[in-house]
Amino acid sequence: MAQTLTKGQMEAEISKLLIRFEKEHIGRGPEGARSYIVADMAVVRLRGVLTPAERHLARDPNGSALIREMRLRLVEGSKALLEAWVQDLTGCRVLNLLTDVSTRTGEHILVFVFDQNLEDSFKDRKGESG
Amino acid sequence: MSEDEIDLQAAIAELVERFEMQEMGIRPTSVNVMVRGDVVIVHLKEVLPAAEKHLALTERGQDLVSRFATMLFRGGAQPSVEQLIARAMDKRVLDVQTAISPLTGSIVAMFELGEKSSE
Repeated sequence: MAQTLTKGQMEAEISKLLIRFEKEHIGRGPEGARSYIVADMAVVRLRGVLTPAERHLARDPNGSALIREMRLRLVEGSKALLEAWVQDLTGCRVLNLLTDVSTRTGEHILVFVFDQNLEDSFKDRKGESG
Repeated sequence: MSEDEIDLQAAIAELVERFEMQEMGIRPTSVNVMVRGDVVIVHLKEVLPAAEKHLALTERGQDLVSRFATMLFRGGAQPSVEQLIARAMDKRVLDVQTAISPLTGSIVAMFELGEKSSE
């Protein structure tokens, strides 16, 4: 797929894939998603990942710590699946997946590190908008 | 079981289902409530999403999912499920314990009641 899409289209596809993952596996879809391909990485920002109950619980420090632990463990547990999906989409092997959640802003950041420079593969493409 | 007790169980089932839908964004397949003396048992069927079921396959993961569910019942809304049950039963809730099933995705929560609420 990396051969047929522009960089912007690929970023949109990555966002869609992460929204699907959150909905189908975490059980709660985010309010929005933006993805950025930078060199050998894809950075994904998911907005509004916390449910109303989690937002309420996050006001308490213990609740906030538990939500963060839970979210990170859920992604860790589904890492193999998520990496396989991203690999199928981008055609790049995922070497590492780094992730964190802010219970203050309800934002979830994921960074996929690839085995090659994905951004470079779009540079010579005619009509590439960046 | 008296009609009042049946009505009470139905009312608690409704408020727990509303919490799951409005505050967690999940619709359980069914919510059954049993009130026996000073204990309220709530059984929510098929309420865990795939990633939570997967996480709960290990003992440590199961403990985390269970603690998370308990904490949401205690403080995941204002008023919380715990407070709503206390109000419905007109008794204090002394403790909440939650067991989860990674196989069926169900949650069983037990609310242990104490003396009459002073509210």
